[in-house]
Amino acid sequence: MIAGARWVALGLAALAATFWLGMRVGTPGGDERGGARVIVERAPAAPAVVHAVAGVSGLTREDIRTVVREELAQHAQEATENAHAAEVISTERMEQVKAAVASAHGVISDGVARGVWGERERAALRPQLIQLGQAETREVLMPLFQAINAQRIQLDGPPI
Amino acid sequence: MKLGLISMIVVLGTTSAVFAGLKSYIPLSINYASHFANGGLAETHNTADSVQYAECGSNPTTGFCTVRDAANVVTSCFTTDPALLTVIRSMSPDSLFSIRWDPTTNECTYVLSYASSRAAQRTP
Repeated sequence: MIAGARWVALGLAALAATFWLGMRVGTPGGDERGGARVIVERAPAAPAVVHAVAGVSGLTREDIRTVVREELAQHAQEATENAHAAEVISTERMEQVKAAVASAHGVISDGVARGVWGERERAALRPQLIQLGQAETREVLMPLFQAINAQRIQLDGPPI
Repeated sequence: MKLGLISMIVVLGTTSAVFAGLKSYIPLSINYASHFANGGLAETHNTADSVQYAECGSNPTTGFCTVRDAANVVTSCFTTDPALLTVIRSMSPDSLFSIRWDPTTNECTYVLSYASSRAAQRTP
């Protein structure tokens, strides 16, 4: 009987000790019961400063207007020059395409006139075809395929 | 003796099964009224005459298909359509094909290429 009471008392003591230990070490950062609490204070963000336009570096509004006008004028000039350069390239390209179309038409007309379409004709047509866009290619090839399908031309090998 | 006979029958049956499967002869066929042609490239190659042919090809910007029937009539169409160029470029020598063309412009308006177990393979 006494031995049982002793065991109960021992168990209760162990429980109490565990509880006490838990309270001591349960908060790693420390708290009001033990270590000091660390408080980090951040400096408040600096208020936005709005500078007066004319007061930054001694420039007046008129100065700024002048600078802006100069910048805009320069950009406009550059844009004009670029457009002009593109126009020149485009004109050159158009001339090339026109020449290629004319040459391709000539090759095809010649082949159709002779009633033969073989390696020689294809070889003459290929350098022209690679310079053409879709629309020009269609324009050029239609008469050739028309002649082939009308059996007006002897096809020797592929048509293109 | 009986066992040998049965074995032979089984072996023969198995061998014939290897060569089974639906086969269709898909020769070159051109419908001039409907502006449509189809057939198998290999089977057109295998025809007894030396007249018929079918071919499709492309350069970087333009494709074409050409067929010639037994009467030596040549029909050809071309295309600059990127989608049709892709189909033409997918063809193999044993492909089956269908093409349709616009008789006014002679442009290919439709190109189909497919592979089929039914089709014959090219013979030399």
